[in-house]
Amino acid sequence: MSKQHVTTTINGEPAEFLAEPFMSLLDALRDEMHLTGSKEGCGSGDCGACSIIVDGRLVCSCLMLAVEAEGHEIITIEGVANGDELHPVQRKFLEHAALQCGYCTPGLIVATKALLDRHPNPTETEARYWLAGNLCRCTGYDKIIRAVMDAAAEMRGVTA
Amino acid sequence: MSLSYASPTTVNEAVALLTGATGLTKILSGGTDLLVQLRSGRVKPDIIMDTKKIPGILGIIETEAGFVIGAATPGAVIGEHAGLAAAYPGIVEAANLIGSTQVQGRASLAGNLCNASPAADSVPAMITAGAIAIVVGPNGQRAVPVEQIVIGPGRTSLARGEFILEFKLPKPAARSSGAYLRFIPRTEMDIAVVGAAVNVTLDAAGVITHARVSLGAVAPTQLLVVDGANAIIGSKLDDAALAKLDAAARAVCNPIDDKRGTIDFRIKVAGVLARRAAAIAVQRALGQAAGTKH
Amino acid sequence: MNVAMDADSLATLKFGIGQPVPRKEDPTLLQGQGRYTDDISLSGQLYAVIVRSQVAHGRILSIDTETAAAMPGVLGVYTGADLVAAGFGLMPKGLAFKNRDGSDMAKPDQLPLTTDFVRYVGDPVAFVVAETQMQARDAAEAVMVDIDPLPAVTEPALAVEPGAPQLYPNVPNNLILDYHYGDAEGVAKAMSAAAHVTKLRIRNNRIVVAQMEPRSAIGEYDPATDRWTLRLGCQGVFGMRQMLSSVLGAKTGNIHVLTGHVGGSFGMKASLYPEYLCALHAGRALGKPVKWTDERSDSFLSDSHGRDHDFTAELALDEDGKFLALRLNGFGNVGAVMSNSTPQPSTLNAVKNSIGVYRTPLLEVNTKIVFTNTTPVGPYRGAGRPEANYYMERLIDTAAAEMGIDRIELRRRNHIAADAFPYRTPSGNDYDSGDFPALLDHALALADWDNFSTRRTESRKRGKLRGLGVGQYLEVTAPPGAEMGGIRFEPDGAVTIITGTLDYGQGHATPFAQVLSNQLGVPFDKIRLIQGDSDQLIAGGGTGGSKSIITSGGAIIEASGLVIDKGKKIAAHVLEAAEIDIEFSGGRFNIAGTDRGIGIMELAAKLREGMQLPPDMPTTLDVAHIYKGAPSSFPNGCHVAEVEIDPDTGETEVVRYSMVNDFGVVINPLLVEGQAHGGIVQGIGQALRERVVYDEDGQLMTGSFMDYCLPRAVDAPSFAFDAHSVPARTNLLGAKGCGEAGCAGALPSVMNAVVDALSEFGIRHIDMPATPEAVWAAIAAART
Repeated sequence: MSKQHVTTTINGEPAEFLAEPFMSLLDALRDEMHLTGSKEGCGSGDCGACSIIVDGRLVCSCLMLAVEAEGHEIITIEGVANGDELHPVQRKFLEHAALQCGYCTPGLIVATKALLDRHPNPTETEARYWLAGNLCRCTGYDKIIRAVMDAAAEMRGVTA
Repeated sequence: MSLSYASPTTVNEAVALLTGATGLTKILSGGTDLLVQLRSGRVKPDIIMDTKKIPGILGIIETEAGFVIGAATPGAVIGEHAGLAAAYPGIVEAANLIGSTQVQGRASLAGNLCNASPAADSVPAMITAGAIAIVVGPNGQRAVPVEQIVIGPGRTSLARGEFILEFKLPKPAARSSGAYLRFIPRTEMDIAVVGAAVNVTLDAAGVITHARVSLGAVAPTQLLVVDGANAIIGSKLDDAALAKLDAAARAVCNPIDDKRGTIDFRIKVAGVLARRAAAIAVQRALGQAAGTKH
Repeated sequence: MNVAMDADSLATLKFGIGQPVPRKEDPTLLQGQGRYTDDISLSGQLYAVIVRSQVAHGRILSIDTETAAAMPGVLGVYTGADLVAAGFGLMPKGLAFKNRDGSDMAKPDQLPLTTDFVRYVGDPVAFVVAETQMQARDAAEAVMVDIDPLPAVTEPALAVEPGAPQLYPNVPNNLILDYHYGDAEGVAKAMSAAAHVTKLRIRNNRIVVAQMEPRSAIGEYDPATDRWTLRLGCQGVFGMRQMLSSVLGAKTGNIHVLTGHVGGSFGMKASLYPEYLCALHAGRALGKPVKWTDERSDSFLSDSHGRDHDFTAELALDEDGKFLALRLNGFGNVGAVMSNSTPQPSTLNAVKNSIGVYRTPLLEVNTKIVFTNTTPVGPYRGAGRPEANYYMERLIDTAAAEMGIDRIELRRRNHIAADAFPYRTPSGNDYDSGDFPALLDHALALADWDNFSTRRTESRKRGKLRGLGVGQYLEVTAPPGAEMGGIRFEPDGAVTIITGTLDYGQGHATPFAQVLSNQLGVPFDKIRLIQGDSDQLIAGGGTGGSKSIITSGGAIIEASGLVIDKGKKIAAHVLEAAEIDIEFSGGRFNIAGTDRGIGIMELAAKLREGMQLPPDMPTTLDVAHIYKGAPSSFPNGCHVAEVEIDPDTGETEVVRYSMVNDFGVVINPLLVEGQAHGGIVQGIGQALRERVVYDEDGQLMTGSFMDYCLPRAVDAPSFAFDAHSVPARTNLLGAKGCGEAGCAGALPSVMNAVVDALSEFGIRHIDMPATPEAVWAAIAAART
């Protein structure tokens, strides 16, 4: 069971790690790269707490082998803010109090960023469907959806 | 516990690897089923073969003859293909139902098919579209209608060393369209209790000249419901035809009884969904006809 | 008045009581910088994996650990016998209740890890510690547990039958408690004399808590200081330390409990679980920190479940619809092992919360609390409160239908009037405040109740059934408990609040800081909260029963008063005035009638720098106070749900949801609204989708998020939210707890709406969850 060397790009920076062949990308991020913002809520792709963006596509990092990351570009929650400056999606989540325990929040922020990168003007229903893979047990989703729609409007340059 | 990962870059390399391997080899496309099985310990392979570096296995090509969909193309890519969405809306809506946005970022048609779950969403839609799987293996290449791939829960007709490289869809006839509907205990992310796909072709008067009907999750494999198609061919999908379709759909069901749905419920809903999918398919085909007039 | 305000005063207003202040922790959490237990990695840390029973009931014949112990990286394999040998004692026995005959409830001895019998699928029997998580996982599969299976029982009504499988030898018929409350004779008389009695059998379905963060713990032991350290997510480190003390046989001073961010709990993480003791044992045995983190598939088995009551509910009414008496007879299924709230939800909390906002002179509750071969049942958001409210509200709608009285009118005829306070209920509670009739009107207006028929007609055109339901509720929040109010002025200029409630998502740091800022004029930005370090606490009731703002808020207010008392003494010295002449307002100690004074932060800074003080003078402003706590509060409200049902598939969607709540004085409306939303969607989940299913052998059939339907973003409605606040008269803030109210309003409003939509088929009741199949089957049965 030899470890494989993986070269990838994480949050814009070249990154390398050693991964056992069966290791999930989520485990590699958390344990090898010490990026603990991505969470394991289920390990089966049902909750979305481990959401990351790979080559522009939203995926669950628990459903991807670490070795599959070779040569790909990864964005995690740690790469969403610009230094100390929150991304508009993060700022709107804060303003609307769209998080409570915060455990699902990194996945939701990443999923929302992926949504707005691709669909800058979603309807509320589209937003709800896009985020249906992110379970949240605390908020009841309403404030999340308000924050997403508000962030979308701001990012399009519309005053909500 | 000697797992190894391989990512061949040609079909021949992949076939050689599959043929030469000892122990259990699992094929990795999107991995959305395989990684769950690995994590739970249900599957303990010796080799994982990642197909995604094989040329042609990712992406969609539109040709004169129709469409070629790479076997490992993720659902999200399928959902974004305008040409495919216009020609085969049923396949696109089925692919968009395979799990969440995150899962669609990875899950593929080949994975959905070869996992051989009776509830796989894309399979009824592919069957009604007349999709052909291009299977490669030690004896070269063969073309297999999708309905012949799955032979039982968890079992396929693929031989040792074989895997699916791509799917071919014919160019649809004029005034043709399709739809897929499924029923689950909630509206997103779960396993279908019933899935129903219908494809139709209409004549200039709006009469159905050709139809295919397929049901999922109501039998050990997805069913091609010939009686259901016959029930609506020759009609304009009037109430009598819909009632016959409903009855034909219910007649072929042989579902399991479990916590997701009892036999009675699954059978009843199969009829309801077949009717509704047929109505949507006809509406779409009529819309196309209207579109081609000017 | 055009007096210029100083910056501190402005800041105090902006962050004052009633302001929607964003949360202090959010910039951290939003960037993935939260520190939940599993995010912590200690140097040299080892990994534990638990071996669980795969059968629901059986005798343990042997546990073969040899193969596992020899596997790569494995450092230890332990069983219950090892814990006993290491001196670990019995698990805490929780609450004490009396049987109807006055005898004590049964309390079987329970070891952290069972050594003789397994009693549910998931019962922990051994654990493996290895250098890596993978090694521990592989080795756990190699532990051979030989169990002689016994018949299992999962339903309480069957478990009390003669001949049923027995879980504990000294608990005959599996009956832990035969609970009785109330005037049985009076109720019986009222029932027999009543013009009408409505009777319903109501199942309150078992729920998986499904907080998003799986349980996790890191156990350590330092032989040099004889100290245990446990890092974990829980609901109060002070209480957790107490429970650990009894099992470890260690003094509380030798136990350190630390909690960082907690990813949801809803009552579930309040209990002491065996896995924490496993991590501590291994931590001591191996001399290294040992981390255990549950996998979700195990969480479904090992986290305590919620609800699971089965009641026959009866409401007696006179010919005008006046309520005469309420009776609940039923079962509370507590699973195979006691939790720390057993048996309260279906007994005392049913008593306190079933009366609600109505004048009902007589009450009787009889509950059999029963062991079964299922996952232990613990507190879950409301812990009996939403259940009890649900019974009453379903009875009212049913009675209205049976008697031909409008359901709103029937409520109006029975409301406790706005001028009736204080009002003593037959459950012995003294309601202090509220305006239930006006609140109902407010909610109906918000929901556009009067134009419902137009919306119903529109739905009908699309082939859908539409229903409208009301759920008026009142909850009795947790009774008084001691809580620490600590205030510390730090060397770096910060002010620390130390209190023993513990938030797992509620965002305590912000409203607590708002209260402190309001009391002391301390800048909001300078205020920090310590809640998760047992070494810092002298008292702590933890979080539970919707009481945190009342207990910790009250503790902060009282402690602030003590800070002011001390500050006046010191300020008098600094200002060279008499103490009696010092006034405190707006964060300043002033000499009365003059403009001379000193700000509290400036005074704290002077003290830090070292100031010559007379010998009898306090040397700091710091306070470590224990607040006795305030009585239960009575949050109430009215929720209105509107559903649409597809009659062909039974699919139900909540299409509109409106609520008006009385949470008394609200400290932070932004957070309170979020608490309501979250509780409601949990309630919608219980009402329409969520249920735990066991097969006849006691195997859990709903053990993953594919099989257990947690609401997703597409399943939840948007909310119309309004307040109708009447300040509480019994606590320092005038607040009424909001944490569990959402569930209480959602269960009845949604289910009453479902039944309303189905009423044209003559359907009067349908049990939760109203899954598509259940609704479809009810329609099909009604049509034949």
